[in-house]
Order: sequence, then structure tokens, then C-alpha cells
Amino acid sequence: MSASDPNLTEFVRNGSEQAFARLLERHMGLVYATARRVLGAAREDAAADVAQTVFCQLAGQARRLPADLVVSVWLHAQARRAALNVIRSESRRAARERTAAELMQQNAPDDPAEMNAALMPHIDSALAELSKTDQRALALRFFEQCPFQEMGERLGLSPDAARKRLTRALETLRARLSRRGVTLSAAALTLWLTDESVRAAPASVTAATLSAALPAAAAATTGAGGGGLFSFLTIMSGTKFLMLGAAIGLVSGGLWVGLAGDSSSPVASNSSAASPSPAPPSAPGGSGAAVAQRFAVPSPAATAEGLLAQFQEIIGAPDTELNRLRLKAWLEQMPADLWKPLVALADASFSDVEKRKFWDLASQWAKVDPEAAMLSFLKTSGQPSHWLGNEIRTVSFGGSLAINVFRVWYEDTPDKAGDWLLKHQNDPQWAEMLPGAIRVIGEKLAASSPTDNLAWAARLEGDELRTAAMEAVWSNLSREEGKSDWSNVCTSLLKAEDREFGNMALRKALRAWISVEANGEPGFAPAERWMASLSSPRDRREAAELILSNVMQPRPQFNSLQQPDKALAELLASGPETASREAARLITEAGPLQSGASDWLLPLLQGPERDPAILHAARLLADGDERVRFTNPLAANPNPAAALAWAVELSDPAVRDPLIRDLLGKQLTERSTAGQSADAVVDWIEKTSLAPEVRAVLRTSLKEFQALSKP
Amino acid sequence: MKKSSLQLIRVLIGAVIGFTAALAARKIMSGNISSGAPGREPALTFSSVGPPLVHPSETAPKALPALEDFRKMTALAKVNLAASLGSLTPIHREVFLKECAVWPEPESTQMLQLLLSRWAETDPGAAADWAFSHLEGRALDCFKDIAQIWAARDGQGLAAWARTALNKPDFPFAQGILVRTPRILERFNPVAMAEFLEMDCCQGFSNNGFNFSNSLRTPEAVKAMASKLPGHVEYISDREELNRQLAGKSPNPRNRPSKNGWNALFEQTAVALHGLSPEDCGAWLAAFPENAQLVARHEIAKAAAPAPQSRQ
Repeated sequence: MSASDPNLTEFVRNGSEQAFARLLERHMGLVYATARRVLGAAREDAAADVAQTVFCQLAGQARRLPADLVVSVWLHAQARRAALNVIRSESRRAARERTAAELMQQNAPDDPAEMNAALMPHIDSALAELSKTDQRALALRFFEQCPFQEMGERLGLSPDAARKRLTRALETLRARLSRRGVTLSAAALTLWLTDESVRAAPASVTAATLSAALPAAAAATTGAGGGGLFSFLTIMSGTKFLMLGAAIGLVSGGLWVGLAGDSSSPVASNSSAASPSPAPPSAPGGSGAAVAQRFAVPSPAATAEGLLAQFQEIIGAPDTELNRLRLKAWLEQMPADLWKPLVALADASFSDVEKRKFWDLASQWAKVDPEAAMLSFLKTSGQPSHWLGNEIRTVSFGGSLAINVFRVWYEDTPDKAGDWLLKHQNDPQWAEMLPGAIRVIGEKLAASSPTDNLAWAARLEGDELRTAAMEAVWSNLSREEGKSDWSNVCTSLLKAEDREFGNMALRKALRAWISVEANGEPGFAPAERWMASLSSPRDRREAAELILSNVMQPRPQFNSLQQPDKALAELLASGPETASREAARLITEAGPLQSGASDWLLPLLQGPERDPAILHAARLLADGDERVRFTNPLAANPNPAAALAWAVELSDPAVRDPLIRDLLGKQLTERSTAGQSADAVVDWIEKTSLAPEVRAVLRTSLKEFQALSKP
Repeated sequence: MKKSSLQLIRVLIGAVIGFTAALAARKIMSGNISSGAPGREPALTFSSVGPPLVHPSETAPKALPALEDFRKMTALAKVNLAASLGSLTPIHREVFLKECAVWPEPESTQMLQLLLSRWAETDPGAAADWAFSHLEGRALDCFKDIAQIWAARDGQGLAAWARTALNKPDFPFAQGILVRTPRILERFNPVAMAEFLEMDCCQGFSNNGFNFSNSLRTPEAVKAMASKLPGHVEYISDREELNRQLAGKSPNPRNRPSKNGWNALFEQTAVALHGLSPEDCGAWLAAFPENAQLVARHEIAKAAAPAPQSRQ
């Protein structure tokens, strides 16, 4: 060619970069201005891109250009065409994005956060399931933001083929997500990927990526044998044959090293075991030594003192989850014979605060030697005591640790732990932890089957242990979902062969059942309905007595104005004498007594049982029962007013009158408990239906008391 | 060269490359080249004198472990996993956090704590912000880990972040942060704690006693702390009221003479310094106001006769 521009001629002939630079300098203004005019003044970046593209075309096509080419004309035409291409391309992309956005509006969840929440848990696993080719296509497009041209080049495809590859990959990804219940259109998925894959990429990402990528790139370059081999492979255009050869090499190499490995592996493992551990490599966030220190898990020292020092070092570190794991890892390595001295030493030297870490010890030692662990922990000191269960029981710090050991043991080997407990239930050295350990089993059994729990409770000896075993059953049944099972459980207890256990358990069950008030009716109402549904009169009678004995027990939530009518009717059906006898028995066996019980028990009493039973009731109420201070505060405090209501019913004046005077005095003085003012007492005396002689005693006693109390 | 010969050469070259790759893979798998892969536990021997170290991997995991796999991991494997989490890219970390946030408990909070505490080593503020904007009820559990790491390195930074958080209107975690931050600073950076408690955001903080023993373990630490206190200590000026309070006769038993963290730090430092050298302590106290000296001597006397039940 003989171009009109000498610089172009020189570039074509000699490949002179200086000539091309002069050419570029001379015509750059023309090309850039043309592109800027076409694209608009606001698109200077795109104009620069167009100029670059045009000069690249010039360099590529220089040898094929006509000899009489006027370079400036050619450049102008190319610049205009390239700029128009940019506009067309952008308008097409804008149209696609609009369509995609519209589709997304139709398909996507309304809330972007909802879409994120739907996709986030699945997107990475779905991506991982795709073929490598699909993963590469998606990564290039969405993570590296490659245009199709570059995608094609990097995938060895034409731009169109790259686009098709991406479409197929997207469709496959969409199908995988759909299988996981995330249904999205391809357009919505495209937009989400476009947005999400680049959204959270602050400058720190770039820095991190660079720092990660550069050494890797350097390693790849040197590892590939430098530029020589790379160039050689590039020259090798027959990739199919190269790949075939590589496959053959891999298979044969794999076979060879596999065969050789079989014979050499013991040597390799021996040498590995014999060689010292390599120095920890450095990791982000600090020097190698510092990082290693943070993740170091010491191996247990040979002496108990050494152990203690390590233990203190670990628990002295910040109480983070990572350090808790370090402690656990350290404990997991502990040889069995070192546990006992460690706990003994730590118990002697640790403060109560430090002893909180004994919980970790307990959980881990339980996996090694639970019996030794329980015994050692039972001997440890430490505050505070812990509450145990619904019943009023406390257990020492050491006892609660021993119970925790048992819990871990039972979760690991329930049969073994359960048998051990049955075998040692009468051994005094375990007495402190037994109720707690029994609760552990009770909770597990009650969660699956209340009847299994009850059958297991029957195998224990003594009310205390049996009560502990059954507590979880009542707790579960008292929850809303378990209410329908109360009657089944009570019926099964009524039919239990071991009547001693059956009665005790049924009493406990009914006590728990009637404590649950629901739908505005008293708690005993459903229990009474269950009683009425029993076919056997004997069963009904037994159930009625148990209901009454439980209703007589005061409890804060119990409404004293309501009467257990069905149970009373059942008792009366057995005849007035029997009813009186049973009522008297209930009172004398009651322990704490509900103050309103006089309303429905007094009418039942008659004959020789009447006065002793009334006197017993009056004394119960007058004294209260300090033993039930925590479980039943209503019954713990003296209640002279309620006691007086019983006392006035006594028929023997020799017993009645002194008691009335005594109770009246208490009522007027013990204002802090249930005492009343003198006016209230006068009011009660005048308005209550009382025998005249009783009223007279009350009035006289009141006057005496008022005279005495005057200053 | 004939075409068939060229193809044969290409096949042979490919075979050599493949064979070399297979050998290299074998070498890596046999452990002669450290792969640094997470999850491979180092052998632990009880006879070794030095502590066996878990080797923190430079290679971040490419995906969050499956829940079942995480459940089966030993504590040591989890420590290894935590070591590798330090190299996560922000995008991976975000994905991991969101994935494990929907795991069931207790695995979810455990994994979140590991991820967030590793993040806290480089950007504790971002980790705390993420926790409070994504985790609701579990945020305070995670904050405890983050704040401990933060306090150990930059107590003032934690205090500044907490102040900003506490000044946010209707911030639902304000009370939790107000309770936890001084407690954590108390252990790792008492001076930052004292400064924090002087901020306006801590008006609602109530306290029944401080314990700076963690920061006063060594003689050097005690002396360094002692040098920081002049100028910060201030007790009530009413001598009679001060005496009443010291004698435990104040109407309100919670109305301790310590007005804030500085005073409490002063008292405990005085006790610790007295334990090291009564003479030095006397000279040091002389620089403080008279009422402050009175309180310090009172505390020193109390410490000399500990309660019989105390094992602290």
C-alpha cells in the first residue's frame, strides 16, 4: 500500500511504534471529537472507548487497507460507526433490562429482602451443583462483569455462543433453585445475580482479592514453568490432541502412583509421624505466632499442677465461643487418670467465680468416667445452691454438677445410666443427686410417653424418688397440648397393680390436674367429670376422695368459693355415716387445710367424729404449717379467722370457749397475717349465724380483749 | 512434518503433562507439601512438652460446612474451622453469616459467634453493626464475644461505638449494651470503662461494685494503673456524709462513696499498691485529696481483714 499518511506507511513497513504514536497523536482529536458528537457531550468515557477501539482496528487492519486510503476519512467513518454501535448496544441493553425488570416485577417476591431471604440460603449450594462450564460462564458474567466478547474469548467461544452458554447456565441454575422451592424467572434471577454479586464489594474486597490473587498468579506463572512452556503450549493449536495426551498421562500417572503408594504409604506415615510439626504459617489478622497462639490448644501437662496452670490460662482468656471451644478441645484430650487430681486441685484453689467453669469439666468428664466424675463433684464445695424441680428442694453446687454429669451420661447411654440409677437408688452416698438424676430420666421419658414414665417411676422406691420421677409428667400434661391426656393417665393409675404406688401417684396427678384452671372453670371441674365417667362405683368413690383431699389443700390459684359438688355428692352417696367418717378422715389426714373447706365439709360431719375433726381443722388453720412456706404460702401462715369459723362449731363448751378466746385474741393482734380489726370482728359476730351461747362467748371475749388492750 | 506425526507429538506432550500432574497431586496428598486445608486435625500427643498448636489455615473454606457436618465436628475441628474463617472475603462472610443465621440452635449462634468474632479481629464495629441489624434476640450473645475481643485491643473504640449506639433513638438493644459494655471494659480496659461511664449515655447505668482484678494482676500493671489515676478521682466533699457512708450507716446502702468507675478503680488500685509496697502506696496517696485518701485507707483496712466466707 502507499497510504497518504507517511506514518501509517512506516508503521506498515517497519512496525514502528513511534510512527503509530505519531499517527495517533495527529488523528486522535478527530476520532474523539467525532465519537463525542455522536454519543453526546455527557458520554466522554464512551467516546474515549470508541477512540481506543478505532485505533485498535487501524492497527489490526493497516496492512489490508487500500494504498490510496485517506486516513482521516477512514478514521472518521470508523469512529462514527463505532459510536453508533455503542448507542445501539446500549439501547438494546436498556430494553432488555426494562423487560427483565418488568418480568421480575411479575415473578419476584414484592420485597427485595424477601427475595434475598429466599435465595441466600440456596444460591451457593445450587451454584456448586452446576457443571464447571456453567459455573465458569456465570462467574465470568456476574462476578467478573465480563461483556460477551470477553466471555467468549476466555471460554474459547464466539460472543454469541457465550451468550447461549450463559442462558443455558441460568436456566439450569433456575431449575436447581426451583427444586429447592425457590421459583424465579430467568430474568429475575439475572437481575438478582447482577445486583447481588457486586453489591457488597467495598474497597476492602478489592484489596483482599488483589492480595489473594497476585501471589496466586505469580505462583501459577512460575509453576507453569515460566513463559517458555506457556508460549509453547499456546503455539500448540491442536488442543484436542493435547487434551487426549493429558488424559492418558493422568490415568497412567494415577495408576503408577497408586501402585507405588500402596507399598510406600507406611514409610510415608512413619516419616510424617516422626517429623516435628511444621511451624504454623502466618494467617491474616496477625503474625504467625500470634495467630497460632489464639488457636493453640495445649495438650494436658503431666502433673496436676501443670494442668491447673493450663486450665487457669485457658479460663483467663476472654469468654468467647472460640475460647470455650479451646477449653473443650483441651478437656477432650484429658487422659482419664488426670481428671480427678485436676478437679481436687481446682476445687481447693479456685474462687467461686472460677468454679463456674466446672460445668465444662462436668460435661466432658462425664464422657470419660461418669461415676468417678459424679463422686468427685459431689465432694466439691462452692456456692450457690441450685433450685431443683417444682418441689421444694435445693442441691449444692457439687450436687448440681453431679446431676449434670448424669444428664450427659444418660443422653449418651440411657440404658446403662438408668440401670446404674436403679441399682444405687438406696445408696446414701448418692442421695443428694438422686432426685435430680431421676428428674433427668423423667423429663426424657415424659416427653415421649407419660405411661412409660409412670411405669419407670413405679420401679423406684420411696415417695420422694417416685415424686421426682413423675414431676415431668405433670408439667407436660399441664401444658395446653397435653390436657386431654390427664384422664387417660389418671385412669391408668387407678388400675395400677401396685396400689400403694397407684394411690400416691393418682393423688399427685389430681393435685397437679386441679391446679390448672382453664376457661374460667375451677381446676377440679374436669377431674370431677373424669370421676363421673368412671363405671366402677368403687373407682368413683376413690377418685372422689382424692379430689376432695386435693381441693382441701390451699393453693393461691384455687377459688375457695367453689365447691367440688360432684365429689361431695359421690361421697354422700355412700351414706351419711360413711360420708361423715370419710370427711373426718380427710380432715385429720389433710395437713394444710383450705380455709373455705368449712363450707362444704362441716355439713358432712356428724356423730362422734364431728368434734375431733373440727378441733383438728381449727388447730391446723390456727397454727399454719411452716414446713410448706415455699410451696404453699397460704397454708404456711396462721389463719385465726378461718380457724374461728371452725371453732364456733364445736359442741363441747369446755373445749370450744377457751379456743374461741384464744383465736379471737390472735385474730385481733396478728394483723400482719390474717388478723382483723375489732369492728370487722363485731360485724362478723352479729351477722353470722351462730348459736346464742357462742355469740355470748364471743362478745364477752371481745370486750375482755378490748379492756385489756386499752393503754 | 506430517500431520499424523504432529498429532502424535501433541499426544505425547499431553501425556507427560498429565503424568507430572498426577505425581504432584500424590505428593500433596501425602502431606509432603502443606495443603493448608481446613478440617484436617493435627495429631495430638500427650507426651509432648510444648503445646500442640492448631495450624491456622490460610485457605478460607469455600462454603459453610453443612449443618450435619458442623454438628459432628469435635471442638478441635471447630477451633480449626474458626482459624480458617479469618481469610474469608467480605462476600463469602456475608453469605456464611446469612446461611448459618437460619440454622437451628445452638449451632446457629455458635457458628455466628465464630464468624463474627473473627470479623471483630479486623473490624469489630462492622461486626457489631451487622449483628444488631440482622440477629435480633441473638445479637447480644454475639456482641459479648465481639466486645471482649474489641475491649482487649481497643477499649476506647468500643466505648465510642457503644456511645453512638446508645444515642440512637429507640434502639432496642440499648439496655443490653449499657449493661454489657462496662462489664466487659471493666475486665479488659478499666480506664476506658471509667471514661465510658462518664459519658452522658451512661446516666442509666447502675452498679453494685466493680472488679478490676483482671487488670491488676501484676506489679507492673498496678503501677501503670496508679499513674493514670491522678486528676480523675473525686469524692463527695461533705466529710460527715462520707464518714456515715464509710461506716455503712447511709440510709441508702447502694449510695456508695464511689461516684463512678474512676473512684472504684482508685480504691482497688490503692489496695493492690499497698499490697506491693505500703510506703509507695502512702507516697502515691499523698497526691490525692484528703477525702480520697480517707476512702482508700478504709478500703485497704477492709482488704486486710477479709470476710471469713470469702475465697476470692
